[in-house]
Amino acid sequence: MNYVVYVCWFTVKQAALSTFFAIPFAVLIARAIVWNHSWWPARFCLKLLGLPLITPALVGILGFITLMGGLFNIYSLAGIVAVHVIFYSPWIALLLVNAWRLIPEEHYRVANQLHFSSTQTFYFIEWPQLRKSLSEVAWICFCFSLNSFTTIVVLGGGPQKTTLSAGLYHSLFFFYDFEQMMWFVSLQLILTLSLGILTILLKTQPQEVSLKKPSLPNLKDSSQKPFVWVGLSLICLPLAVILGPSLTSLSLTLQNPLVWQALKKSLTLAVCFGSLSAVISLFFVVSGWRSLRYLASFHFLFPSTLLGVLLFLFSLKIPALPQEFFLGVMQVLLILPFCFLLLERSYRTLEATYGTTTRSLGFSPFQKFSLIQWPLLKKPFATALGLGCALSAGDFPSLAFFSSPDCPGLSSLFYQQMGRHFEKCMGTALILLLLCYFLYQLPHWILRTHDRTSVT
Amino acid sequence: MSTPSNLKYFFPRLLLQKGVILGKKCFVFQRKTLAFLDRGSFCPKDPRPRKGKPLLSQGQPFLAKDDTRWGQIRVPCQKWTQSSPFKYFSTFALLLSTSPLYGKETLTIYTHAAFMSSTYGPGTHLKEAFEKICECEVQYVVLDTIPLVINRINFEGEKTKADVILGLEDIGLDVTHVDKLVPYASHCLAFVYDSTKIPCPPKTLDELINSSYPIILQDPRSSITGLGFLVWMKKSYGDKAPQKWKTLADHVLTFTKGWTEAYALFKQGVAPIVFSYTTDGLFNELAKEMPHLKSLRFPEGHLCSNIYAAKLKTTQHSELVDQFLDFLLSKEAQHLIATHAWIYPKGDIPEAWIKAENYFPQPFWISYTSQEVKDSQRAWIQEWVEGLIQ
Repeated sequence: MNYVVYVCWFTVKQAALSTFFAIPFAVLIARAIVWNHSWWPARFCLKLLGLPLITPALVGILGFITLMGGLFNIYSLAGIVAVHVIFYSPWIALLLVNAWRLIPEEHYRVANQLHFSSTQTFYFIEWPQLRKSLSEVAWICFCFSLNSFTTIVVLGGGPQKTTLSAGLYHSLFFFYDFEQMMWFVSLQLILTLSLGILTILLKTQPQEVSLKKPSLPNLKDSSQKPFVWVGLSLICLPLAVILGPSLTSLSLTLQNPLVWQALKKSLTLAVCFGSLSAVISLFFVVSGWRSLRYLASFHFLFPSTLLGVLLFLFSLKIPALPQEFFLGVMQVLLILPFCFLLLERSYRTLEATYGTTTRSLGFSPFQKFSLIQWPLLKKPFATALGLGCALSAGDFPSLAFFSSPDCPGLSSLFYQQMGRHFEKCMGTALILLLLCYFLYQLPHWILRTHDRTSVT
Repeated sequence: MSTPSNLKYFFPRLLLQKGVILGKKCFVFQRKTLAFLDRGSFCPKDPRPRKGKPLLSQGQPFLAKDDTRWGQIRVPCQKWTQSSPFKYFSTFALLLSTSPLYGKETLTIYTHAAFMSSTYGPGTHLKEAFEKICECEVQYVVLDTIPLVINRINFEGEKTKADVILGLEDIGLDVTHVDKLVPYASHCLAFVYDSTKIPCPPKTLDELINSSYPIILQDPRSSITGLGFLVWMKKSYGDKAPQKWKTLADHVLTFTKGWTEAYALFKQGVAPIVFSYTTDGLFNELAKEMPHLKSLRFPEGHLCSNIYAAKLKTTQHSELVDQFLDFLLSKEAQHLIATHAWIYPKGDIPEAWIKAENYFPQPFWISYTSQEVKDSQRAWIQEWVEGLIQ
C-alpha cells in the first residue's frame, strides 16, 4: 500500500474510533448529570466539563501517560484513541446536557405516570431528542480527532502511527521531505474542503441556541451516580496524578532560568494575542459583521498544521518579519472563532431583547455601546478574553512551527523536556497549567464579573 | 425622565446602587441614572409566589425575551484599577532582557544538544579548557540534532557565523561547506537492555529480531541513530531486510523522533530494550550506578562511526580554528571527551573503563561508506516504510 494512502487511512481510522468510544461515555456522563443535577458532585462535574478546553493538551497527555503508562502500551492506536476519549467526552457531555434542556418536563411526568423503566425513558423520551444533537456533536468530535496534532506527535511515531497533520509537520521539520510534505498539504486541503462540503450537506452545523435557556428537568435516579464519578475522574485524575510529582520537582524547575524566560515569553504572547483576538471578535460582533458567524461555525474543521505550514512557507519568503508575527497570526486565527462564537451568542440575545428599544430611543452607536452593550457584554467578553489568553498560552501547534530553540515558549519548552527528562518536566507542566487557569480567570477579576457559571 | 437627585429623594440608597431592569419598561443607564420609558414601578422583588427553582436565566445579566420575571444587573461602584493588585500586569509582561557583549575573538561552534548535555556531553568542559589556552571566547550554537545543524548551515550558506561543527558522523555526512574534517573520536551502536527484566538476553541480532521483547527504536528519517540501525539491517540482511523489519516491527513499541526521546522512554521503564550505544553500559555503571543496564554484544559486528570536527570554508578565524582542532586531539581534550562524552577516544582508553564490569571494547566494525549511505538512503527508507505498513 502506498504510504500516503496508508496515512490517510490511519487518520480516518483513529478519528472514527475516537468518536465511536467518546460518544457512549459522553452520553452516560451527561445522562448521569441530568438525572442527579441537584446532587453536589453532579453540579460540580457540570461546572468542570469545560475544563479540558482550557487545559493545555500537552499537560493532559502527560497526565494520561503518568496514569496509564503501566497498564498498556500507550504508544499505540489504543493510546491515541484513549487520549481523545478522555479529552473530548467531557466536552461532548457538556453539549449533550444542553440538548437535554430542550426535552419538556411534561414528557418525564407522563413517563412517570406510565411507570417507564430507566431504559424505556431513555429510548422513548430522551433518545429522539438526543439523536438530533448527537449527529452534530459526533461530527464535530470526528473532525477534531481528525485534525488532532499534539496527541499524535507525542504518542504516535514511525510510519505506522502517523496522521496527515503530524506527518505534515514531521516531513517539514524533521525529514526535510518536501515532496511528501506537498502531498500531505494537498491531501489535508482536500480533506478539509470535503469535510466542509459534507458539513453543509449534512446540515450538521451547531444549531441556533435558543434565547431562553431552560432549566434541567427535575429528575432523580441515584443508580446513575457512579457515572458522575466516572466523569469527574476523567477530568480530574489526569491532572491529579501529576500534582504530587510536580510539586516535588517544582523547586528544581523554578531554579531553571530557561523556565522563567519561557514563562515570560508565553505570558507576553498570551496577553498580546489572546486579548487581540478577543478585541477583534468584539469589534466584529458589535460592528455587525454577522456573516462571519457562518465562517466561524466551521472552526472545528480548520487544521492548525495546514495553517502552520502555509504561514511557515510565507515566513521563508518574507524573512524581514519576525517569527513572532507569524506566530501571532496563527494563534489569532486559531483562537478568533472561539471568542467570536462566544460573544456572538450573547450579542444575539442582547439584540433580540433590547435591539428594538434602543433603536426607538435613537442612540448613537457609541451611546448604544457604552450604555447598553458594554455592561451586558462585559461578562461574555471577560470569558472570551480569558479563553483567548488561556488557549494562546497552552497552544502547542503554533509554537511547534514558530519557536526559536534559543527562546522557546512554555509549551514548546515543556515538550522538549518531556522528551528528555520525564521527571523534571512535571514542574513545568504545573506552571503551564497554573498559567492557563490564571489567565482564564484574570479578566474576570479585572472586569469584576464574578463567573459562577461553567467554563464555557 | 427622572433625574438622579429626584430618585435619591424617593428611594433608599441601597436600591440605587443596584440598577434594575424592569422588562422593557425601565433602563439602567449609568451608575445611578434610571429612565422610565413607560409607567413603571420600582419593585425589588417579584411579588408573585415562587414555585420550584428559579429559572436559569435569572442568574444571567439580562432577561430573556419571553421571560416574565425580574432580572437584575450589577453596576460596578468601584473601578478595578482602584483596588486591583493586577494594576501593573502589563508592565511585567513587557519586560525584556538584554545580553551583554564581549570584545574578545569568538570561536562559534555549531553542535547538537547531546554534546552540551550536563550528564554525557563534554561541551562545557572543552570550552573551559580551551578558553584557558586561547585568549578567546567559545560560543556554542546548540540545535537539537546534527541533521538540524547541517540544515541550518545549508540554509545560512555563506552568511553563517559558524567556524566549526562538532559531532558530525559518517552517516549523514555532508561536506558541501566543509574545508577540513578531523576525526576526534568514534562510537558504536548497540542495543541496551535492563538485565533485571531480561536475565537471558539475545546473543545475536537474529535472536533479538525473533524474540518478543518490546523495543524502542528511532525513526531513521529524523534520527542518525535510527538511520544507523537501518544501515545495519541492510548490511546484515541485504534484500531480506524488509521481511526482517516486518518481524521486528511486531514488537517495536514505538519509533521516536530522536535518540534522546527513546532513551527517556527507556529510563521510564516503558520497554526493556532500547537502541543506543555500546558505551551506555559503561556510562550507567560508572556515572549512574545502574550496572544492570547493559549493552548487548553481537559477535557478527556492530555499526560504528567516526566522529568529526569540521572546519568551515567560510570561517573568519582560520588560525583559531586550527588551534582548536589541534587541541581536540591533545591528551587533555581526549581525556575530557572519553570521560564526559562516553565515546571511544582516538588516544588511550581511560583506566577506569578497563576495570569496569560493563566495559565494551571496540567491536568488529560492519563496513560501509558514507557515500554509499548518502546515495541509497532514500531508497532504503522507502523500503523500510513500505515494509512496515504492509
